[in-house]
Formats: sequence, C-alpha cells, structure tokens
Amino acid sequence: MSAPSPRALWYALLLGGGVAIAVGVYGSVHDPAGQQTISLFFSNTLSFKAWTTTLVLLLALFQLYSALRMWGKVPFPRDMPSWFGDVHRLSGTLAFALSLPVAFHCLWALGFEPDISELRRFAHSLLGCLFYGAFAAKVTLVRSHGAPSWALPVVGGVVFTTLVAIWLTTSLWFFTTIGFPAI
Amino acid sequence: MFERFVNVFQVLVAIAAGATVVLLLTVSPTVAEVESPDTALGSDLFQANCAGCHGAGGEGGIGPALAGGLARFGSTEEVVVFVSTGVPGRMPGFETRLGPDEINAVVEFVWADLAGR
Repeated sequence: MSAPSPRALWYALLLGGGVAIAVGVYGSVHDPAGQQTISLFFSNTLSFKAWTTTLVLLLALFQLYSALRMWGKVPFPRDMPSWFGDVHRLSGTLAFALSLPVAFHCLWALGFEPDISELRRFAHSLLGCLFYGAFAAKVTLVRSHGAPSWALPVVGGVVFTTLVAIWLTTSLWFFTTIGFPAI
Repeated sequence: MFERFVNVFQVLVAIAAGATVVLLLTVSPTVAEVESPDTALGSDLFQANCAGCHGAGGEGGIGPALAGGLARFGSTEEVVVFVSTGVPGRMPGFETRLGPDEINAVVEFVWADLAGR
C-alpha cells in the first residue's frame, strides 16, 4: 500500500474551489430572473425548496450515520450487510439529485446576494457555493487513491455541516417566517 | 444487482447535473413574467388592502414602512409568498381575499414603486 500523498488532496481541493468559485461567479453575473420554476405539488417554488432541502438534510443525516458505521465509529447495525455501502452511495446521490432543482432556482431566479448587511441571504449564498465545492471535492476524494485517510471524513464533514447551515438559513427561516407546513 | 442499479443511477444524476448547468446558461425568463406590471391595478389594490396598516404612501403605521424597504426579501416571489400567507398575529394572509394576479400586481407596485427595488 502506497504512502498517503497530498497530491490527490490538492487535486480535490482545487476542483472543489473551482466549482465553488464558478457557482458564485454565475450567481453574481447572471441577471436574476425572479420567477418561479418547479413547484411539483407544492403551492409555490419556495415551499418546494424548503421541503426538498429538508428531505436532502434527512438523507444527509443518514449519510453521516452510515459513514460513521462504515468507519467503525458507531456499533449499529452490528453486522453490516454487504449492500450497506451501496445504500450509502444511493442516499448521497439522491440527496445531490434533489438539490439540483433547488440550486437551479437559487442561482437562476435569485442570484448571489453580495450585500453583507443582508446577512441571511449573504451567508446562504456563500454556503451554497461552499456546499457544491465541498461536494465536488468529496466525490473526487472518494474516487481517488493516496489521499490522507483523514481527508475524506473532514471534507465529508464540511459537506454535512454546510448543508445543515443551508437548511438553517433557508428552510428553517421559511418555516418560522412564512409558516409551517406552508405546503 | 443493487450495486449496478446505484452505478446507473449515479450516471443518470451526473447527466442531470450537466443538464442543470446547461439550463442555467441557456434559459431566459419567460416574456409574460417580464412584462411591465399593471401599476394602476397594484396601486388601487394597495390603497384598498394595505394602506390602512402600511400608510397611503407605504410610510408605515400599524405595520412597518414599505417605502424604501423590503430589504429582507430577495425577490418579488418571496414577497408574494409572504403577502399570500401572512404572519399569524401580525399580518393577515391575502390569498383568500385577492386572486393570484391581484397579489402579483400589488407586490409589483410595492416592490417597484414604493420600495424602489
């Protein structure tokens, strides 16, 4: 087994940084459309986004727990089934897929909030960029060999923490400001 | 079998991510949404439904000032949701009093003419 190399980690971080910057640049230079997009069976796009982000957070919680189990940090389930890793991958992929229409509306219809006095929207804009950057880095690390063993859990933790902060600055804000369940 | 399913699903989601990027770069706002708002209707509806609390010129009263305000909202869409649903104990929801077009008109009026956004 080869020794850990920082090169794989740097590649992942460079890619993640590039993705985060690209998302932020698009959100800044794109003229926000200010329109609703997808809402499915919800009354409007914001309700759809609030609930979809909540679902993504629940999937991320499962991601966190299943990752901890695979790394042997939690004891349950005691006998890990052979398909456990695939369920972990499936839940993560599903969470990412569900985040796409949410991000589309954020970027296309609302854009990046540059005014720091609008703290919630400013923080949310930064967190959104960071989330996709960290996600890209995490996916790269999963598929790369030679990165330090601590890199994947650290970057995965950043993805999860960022998602929690995104949920706090949007879905929780929506439910407490507009109402609950506001479907 | 299950692993194969997950692999195929991941490929499909990767394609969906690429399609999302393409849509972000190519989709333009629909013409109907960028037409100029019916400010006369919006003004009339504002005076009839909102001015009692927010002032005839949106200067505030029982409710907060709207003129030069609305900083908490990022788009008219957010204001439409807010006006439609209201806030329990603070502001009534108007979705049962006004139609969607009327709410859009009054929000456009407040957004563009009073708040100057």
